[in-house]
Amino acid sequence: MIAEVLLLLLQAGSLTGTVRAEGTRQPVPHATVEIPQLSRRVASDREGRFEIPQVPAGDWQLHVTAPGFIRFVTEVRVVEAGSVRLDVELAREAVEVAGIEVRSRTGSGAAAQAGTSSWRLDPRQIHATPALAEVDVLRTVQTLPSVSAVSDFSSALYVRGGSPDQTMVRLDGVPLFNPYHLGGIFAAIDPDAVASVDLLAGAMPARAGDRLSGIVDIRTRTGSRDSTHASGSIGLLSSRATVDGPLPGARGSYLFSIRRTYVDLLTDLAHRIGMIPVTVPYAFTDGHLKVTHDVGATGSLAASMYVDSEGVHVPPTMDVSEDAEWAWGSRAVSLSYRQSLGRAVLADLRAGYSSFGGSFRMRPQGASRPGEQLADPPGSRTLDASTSIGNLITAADLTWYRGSHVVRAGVQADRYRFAHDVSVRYEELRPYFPDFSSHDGSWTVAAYAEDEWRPVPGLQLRAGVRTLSLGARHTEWMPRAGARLEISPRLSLFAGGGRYAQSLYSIRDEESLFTSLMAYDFFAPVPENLKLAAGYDVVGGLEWQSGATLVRLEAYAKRLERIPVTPVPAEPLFAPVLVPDEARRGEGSAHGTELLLRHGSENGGVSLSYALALAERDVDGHRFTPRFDRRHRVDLMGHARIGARGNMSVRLLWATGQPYTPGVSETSRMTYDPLTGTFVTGPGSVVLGEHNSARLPNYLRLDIAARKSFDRKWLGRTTTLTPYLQVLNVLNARNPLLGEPVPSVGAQRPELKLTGQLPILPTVGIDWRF
Amino acid sequence: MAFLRYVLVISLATLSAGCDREGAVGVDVDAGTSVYSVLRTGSDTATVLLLRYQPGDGEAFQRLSGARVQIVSGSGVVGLPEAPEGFRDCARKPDPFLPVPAIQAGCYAARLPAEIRPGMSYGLRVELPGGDSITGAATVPSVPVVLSPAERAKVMVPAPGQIITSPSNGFTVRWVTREEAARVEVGIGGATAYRQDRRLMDVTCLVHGGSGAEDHAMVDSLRYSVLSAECRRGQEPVQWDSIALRVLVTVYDSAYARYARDVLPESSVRGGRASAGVRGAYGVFAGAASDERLVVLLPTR
Repeated sequence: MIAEVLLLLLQAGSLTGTVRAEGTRQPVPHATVEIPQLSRRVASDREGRFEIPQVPAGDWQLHVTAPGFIRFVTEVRVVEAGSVRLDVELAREAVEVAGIEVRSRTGSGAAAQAGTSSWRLDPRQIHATPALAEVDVLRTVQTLPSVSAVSDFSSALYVRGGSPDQTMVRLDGVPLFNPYHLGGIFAAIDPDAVASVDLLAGAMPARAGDRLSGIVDIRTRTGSRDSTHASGSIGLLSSRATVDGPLPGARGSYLFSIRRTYVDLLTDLAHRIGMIPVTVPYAFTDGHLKVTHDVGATGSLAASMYVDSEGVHVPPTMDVSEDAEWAWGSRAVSLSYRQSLGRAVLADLRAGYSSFGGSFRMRPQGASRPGEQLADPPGSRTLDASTSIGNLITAADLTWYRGSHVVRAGVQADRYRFAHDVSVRYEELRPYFPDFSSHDGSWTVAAYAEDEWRPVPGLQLRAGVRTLSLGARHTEWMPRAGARLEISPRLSLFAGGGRYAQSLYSIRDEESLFTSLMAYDFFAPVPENLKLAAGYDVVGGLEWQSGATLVRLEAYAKRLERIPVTPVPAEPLFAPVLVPDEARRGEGSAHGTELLLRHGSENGGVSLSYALALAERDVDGHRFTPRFDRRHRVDLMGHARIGARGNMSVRLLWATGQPYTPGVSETSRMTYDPLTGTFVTGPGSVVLGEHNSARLPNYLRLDIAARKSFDRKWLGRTTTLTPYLQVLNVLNARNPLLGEPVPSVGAQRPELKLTGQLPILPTVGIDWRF
Repeated sequence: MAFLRYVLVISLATLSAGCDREGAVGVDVDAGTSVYSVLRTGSDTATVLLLRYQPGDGEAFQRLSGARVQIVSGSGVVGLPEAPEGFRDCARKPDPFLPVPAIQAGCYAARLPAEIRPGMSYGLRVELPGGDSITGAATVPSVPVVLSPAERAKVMVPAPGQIITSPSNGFTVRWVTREEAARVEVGIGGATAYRQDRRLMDVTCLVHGGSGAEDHAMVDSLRYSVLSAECRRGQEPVQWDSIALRVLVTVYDSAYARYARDVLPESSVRGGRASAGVRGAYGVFAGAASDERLVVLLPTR
């Protein structure tokens, strides 16, 4: 959302301005403009204008609300013998997440709905964060204090001790099940299509979706209603383009964006002309389309479509020993309709469908394929795997603005289908990918009611309840509550908590090393003996904001009561990545503290976050720290203007090393020889200690990025070109991904063999906009 | 210019760094004791090996001397004195071409008052010089019965250069076990060469062939193919008329089965799995029983 705040001195002791809709810039009548500390409240007129007279000098919080729009909150300073003019643009409220409070440009970006633990990222932050080759939405989410990454290779989100399958990534109200490319190295979201990203990390409101650890709400940008715009980027890995503009009749808008890699095309061309012996037969594509249209005087319709696909297709011209046909990707569509029912009630209807599917086939070159008459040669190395999940959604929500109350209620029905078939005839892969076949489906119905109440200025209370029913098997009742108290115009305290449940889980074992390399989850219904996976959390904290400086301190505790957990692997280094039938009823806990310090100015900004996190899992009497856990994490980010139109960003991340299972002693592998009745001496074997009871060396990474913009006149229009250079891991720190205990050989002492993550990695590209 | 300066700094930093992604760090681990013993039906001797893992300078695995070792059975308690270095029933070195260091273990051996019998339970007691103790328990399995090959069955060794083997170039091992076996191994070896009906002394014979299988608990028969056979005295090839080859079917109890599954193939093993049939040490204390046949290899003329 773009919130333009203009502070002008006009007349003594009054606050005036205009409320408009973001994008259309149409006036918003009947918007409530309020200074809670003074209990002063007015409504905007038909032209969106408002005036609050006789405002004393001082710093005041101003709240602007209107049905169908996100609450806008900012600080204004009224000086003696002066006044303030404030023009506000309200963003249309997302159908799925209403009422998120958006702070002013210098604010925390926190979605501060009465005690909810939440963070907001806008496109500016997403584009300013150094990333691997591409501006990356999920990588930017990983910079938030509540989130950690399992490796440099994965953009999966680990929120406050929860695994990625416990955090829902939602695009325009529809969940995306595996929004990743290249195993998880990149997020499959075009950053140019994104308007905002909200992370709910704790004390989630009753109308948030059903996940145990978090919700990431990504909203596609609404196209401009004024004129047509285009932008894009040309990078080492891919290029992307976005175009948006008004629909005919000016009653709606469209946005279309597409991104594609071209390493396959370039290497295929080079291969054909004999420059290189092999091609890189991999490509990914993703695209977004969003169309909005007004319906009548007070209704609006939005349709959103998302596609991502990628694959490996070995061309017939390539001289390799194996044919590979791998293709996977996601589809999501959503249709939402919003209608005002009178001046105080807002109705939202939503329907959508989301799916993820993949097909992976590999066999000796020239061998037959499934469906063909000839069978594979006996003993041939083949791989046939397919996976899919589909989710059909229908939902309805009502929001009632009644004085100091905002009452919300809604219902959502979800139909899921799951299908996995894996058959692997590669001996080296079989320990990690066991053969299995699973086809299943389920229904869930969720309903909620919640009241958000401001009994007195400065105090915000929230209470509600949500239910989730998994067919006739089980119904979970989940109370949710939160509170926010403004001690002073700068200082707020907040607290909240809630109970959560979810009906699906991933059969991927988080303890497998493969999870560091493969972010994809393979979803399945929660085993019947667990009914629904469930847990609860409590959060509390304070936020202090003065001008461009923000301090936020938050503590949380989370308990996961019924979650599917795979038994502790017998061989930690070779734990299977897919464990389809062995999930047990496990428990988990996480608690920690998060601190964010942020200061911004026109010439740059700096933010420092620190997270202390302690997570545990408990299964079959084994209590252990999950492999993704990082006890301490410090993230320092800064950006500064260089010259007139240049910019430089720096990110320094330090974190505790991840857990691994250490060797505690050694034994010799002596083999009994029945022919001689004696033992034959063998090599040593490391005796391992408690699971994940030691830590790998600490993680340190310094990323830097520089960019500068130039304007050029082409075809009568001004085109802005922004070349950029990014370097990841400037210090080339090894940052171990895994530690393999190596036994003694003779007099040589035992060692821990470390395998590192990303080395220093520079990338260049150019953004363009006209 | 300021922007270009920053780009230059970034580029230099990039070029100045290397790309070493792997490495190793030393780790501190604890000392440990391992014990190895398999009691075999029909034998009247018990042998117990004790090994000390001592990280530090010098060989990590060292013989553990000075322990008090006892085997407990229904017929009493037998103390096992420490055997002198080089005692024939102690651990032997693996084949010299395998990259495995020779380990000298402490060896404790004694003749038992009675033969080890199937179904009998035996206990192990070890008191280490420092005062720590090790205990173990094993029940010896029943002897399997080899149904084929027949004793002294004749098997033709393919002529040199012969690639395709015929049925006469191999034999099938069939057996039955009296109870469900935790682990079965079919061992083929102990080749003895003969020339003109006289045993050739100081001759080593290598028989090449195989079945490809290792743990045979899930099957009750095995086809073994002989591909070639050669005998040498030192480096010199030796002519032979026949080779007697032992075919041994050995059944193990569950302790050795666990040890063979969890420890033998892995370079690391969880603490709880590093001990099979013993407490207070790593290693294995187990029972085994064997039946065997002799087959006679004849050259194809």
